[in-house]
Formats: sequence, C-alpha cells, structure tokens
Amino acid sequence: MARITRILLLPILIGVCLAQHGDRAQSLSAPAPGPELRFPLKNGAVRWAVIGDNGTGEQPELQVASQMQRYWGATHFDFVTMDGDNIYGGHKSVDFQNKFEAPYKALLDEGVKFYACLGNHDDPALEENYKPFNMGGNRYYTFRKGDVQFFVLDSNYMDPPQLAWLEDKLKSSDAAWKIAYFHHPLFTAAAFHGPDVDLRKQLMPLFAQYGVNAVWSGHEHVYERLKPQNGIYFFLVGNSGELRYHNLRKPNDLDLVGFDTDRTFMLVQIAGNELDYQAVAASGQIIDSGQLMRQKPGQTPAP
Amino acid sequence: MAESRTSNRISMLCIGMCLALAAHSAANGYAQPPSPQDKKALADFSREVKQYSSMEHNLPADKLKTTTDVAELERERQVLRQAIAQARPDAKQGDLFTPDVAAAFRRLLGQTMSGPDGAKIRASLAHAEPNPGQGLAVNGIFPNTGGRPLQSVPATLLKNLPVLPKGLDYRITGRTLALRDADANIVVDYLPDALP
Repeated sequence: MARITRILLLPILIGVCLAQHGDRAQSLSAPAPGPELRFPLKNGAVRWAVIGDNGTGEQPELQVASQMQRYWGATHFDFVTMDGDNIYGGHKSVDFQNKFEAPYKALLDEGVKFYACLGNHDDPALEENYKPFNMGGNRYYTFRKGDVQFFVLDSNYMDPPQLAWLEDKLKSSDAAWKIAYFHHPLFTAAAFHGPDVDLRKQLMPLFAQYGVNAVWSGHEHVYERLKPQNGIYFFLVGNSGELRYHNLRKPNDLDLVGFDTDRTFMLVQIAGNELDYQAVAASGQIIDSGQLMRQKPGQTPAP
Repeated sequence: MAESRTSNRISMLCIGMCLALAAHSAANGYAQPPSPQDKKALADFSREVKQYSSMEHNLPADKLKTTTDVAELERERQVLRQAIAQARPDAKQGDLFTPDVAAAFRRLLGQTMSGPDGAKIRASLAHAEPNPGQGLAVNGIFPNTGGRPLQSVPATLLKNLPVLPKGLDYRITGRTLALRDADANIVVDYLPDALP
C-alpha cells in the first residue's frame, strides 16, 4: 500500500517542483513592469517633462523625482522645463545640492537638461548663472527643440525691455509650436494667490497676436489643465515639491482637470500637429492625459 | 442768440479736449501727464542711474559668470558688493531719489495706482506674496535672503516708471520702492512711502 502511494505521489511531487521552478524562472526573466504610458512614443518627437515649485529638498520632491526617473526609462524624454521656485529657502552650495542636484541626479547623469525660469523664491543672480539651469546668465531667454520654440519669461519683473524682447522674438520665430512658460499664472482656480490679472493684461495680447500655442506656469501648489483662453492652452504645474491641499475652488469654470491632493509632474510630447500630455502623481497615479491639436491661426480650439 | 451758440460750441470743444486728454492719460495708466517739473526730475533720475551703471561697469570686479560652482558665484557677488561699497562709500538715502525726484515718483505712483489700472495693480501686488516693509540700507543687501521671497513688481507699474539700465531694478517692500543692483543684490537707493 505504501509503495503504491509513493508511486502515485512521486509524479505529483515532481510536477509541483517543476511548476514552482517554472514560475521562478518566469519571474526572473520577466522585465519589471514599466510605468503606464498613455500616449504612443513617436519618432522624431520633442519630448520633455515639466516640474514646478519643486525645490524643497524634502521627501515629496524625491518621490516625484523617482517617478520622473521611472518614466525617463520608458520615454527617454530629452529635457525638463521648470516653472520656477527651483530652490526654496537658503541658496548656499549645499541647498543647490540637496534641492536640485541630489533629487535629479539620475536624470542629470543621463544628460537630461533642465531649463529653469525664475520664481519669487529664487535668487535671480545666482540661478541665472548656475549652469545646470541653462539660463545662460539671463533672467529671460528662448531655446528651440525641433519645431518647438520655448519662451522662458521672468514674471517677477515684466518690465518694458522684456516685453519688447518677447515681441521681437515671437515675431521672428518660424517655429510651428510656440510655448511660453513663467512662474505667475495668468489664469488659475487656486484660491491662495489667484491669477495675476495685471500680468495677463500685458502678455495675452502678445500671445494672441503672435500665435503662442501653450503656456505653463506654477506658483500655485496644484496641478491644473485649464480651458483654452483666447484659443491658447494653459497648464499649471506648481506641485512638484510643494503642495497646497484642497486649494482649488470647486466648482469653478476654469479647470478641465484640477488636482490638489498630491505632488505631480508632467510628460509632454510634440510631433507634427499633435501635443500629447500625461500628468503623473508622486504615488504613480496618472491624473490626466490626452492629446491637443496645434491651433490654426484664428482658430479657437474646443475645450 | 448767436453769442449763446458760440458759447455752447466753445464749451463742447473744451469738453471734447478734456475727454481726449483723459483718454490719452488713461491709455498710459496715469491720471495726468507729468508736469514739466516732474519730467525734468525724472530725466535727472535717469541720468543719475546711467552714471551709476557706468561706474559699476568700470569696477575692478567681474560680473557673475556662468558656472556649476555656487560657492564661486557667491564669492564673485561678495567681491562685487565690496567694490561697489568702496566706489561710493558716502552713498546715502536720497542721493538718487532727491527731493524733486521723490516728489515726482510719489505723484507718478499715486496717479498710476488711482488710475484705470489701479485695481489690477493692487491685485497683482497682493498676489505677489507682499512682505511687510523691511529696513533697507544703502549699499546693504536687499532683504530677500534666508528664504524670504522677492516680491514681484506689477508690469503696469513698471510701464509707468523710468526705464532702468540693465542690471538695475525696482523692488517693493511694504510701501517702499527700492532701486536694486540686481547682480550684487544690494540697495542703491530707496524711497520710503512711495506707494500710496
């Protein structure tokens, strides 16, 4: 009886062992699950990440940076735009290390470039000349990637020379996409500061006249994708380090998507007439994604 | 009867001219154009800031140069501050904001902020993390250090003030308007009670 039992059990034991080995072999060879990407990677696209109000050096900034690193592995975005408040608090060497160089070390080591604009917590003279911020010693500047030209403004001090410079650069640009970014939002549903209506009065006529397609800003510590204003797409990413919980007025008639319960960063891709975007929280949750079409002159896009 | 019609026409003409003048002033964001005395004071101010700028350019201290070394940037800034302080050791409040210039600035700012854009300017000031008035000293470091934000200056206000040479800017703390050397981050001069 015992012999019959052994004969019957042996194949079962062998089967179990093989199955376990198979599982382990499979788990060793399978790649770790990548981050979820909601747009297809397109050849020749301009691809970047957006952060804002990030420079705290605290754990949440590191968490967002860690998510960015995961997504870089999946997308190889070329550069990062920074919506200001790049370094909070002190501005000693150690602050630049703790609040910028350490959190984004993996990306910097891969050669990812960061293009900063100045927020009200930044030290203009130091940050303009801090090489990794790529401002070239200027408080406002422009750079171009493929068919996309970026206009990086200093909204702390929008004086007549800067407005004249902006008009000149917009007028002479032949880029298919014109994107402006700066710290203070022209439109927002956040309650803490609210929009800068005086700045809006100066900038919107230029943006409309010279066909700016999309605008990013920060300052409010939330994420917002707003209804197009005068046909221009508006985003706000001001929570890549700081966060102001439940600060968005709800309901409001400005936001298409508003998020104020975690930190975020954005991924953006432009290819041809299409702009794909995805906003990712520090937790890894995807809080917004979609595609926008390049506006034709005089066309007001549907919300 | 004819006399009355002529009088009416003159009245209408006067009203029309006043409306045209008011519209022009409103378009520029101030209630009245500066008086000849204020124009002269503002021109004097512009000349003085240009002289300051030329002096700074000729100092034996380099402007900050782009680098990855923040300590080096701090060192260069400190050298620049010392050179400026040595070049104008007797500088004091009111050297550039002389009594005539101060009066012209106060009038200009008062008119701008009580003009058609006044509400937007006030909203912008309130939106820009205003700081309470902090003690300023000529040749002293502008008090935006230690994590205190640098208050932004409303664009419409800047549009109505004399344009400054590169490297100088206007800054606001409380009701005080400061003239700041941006590279050195020091106070060149300041005007108390500038904002109404």
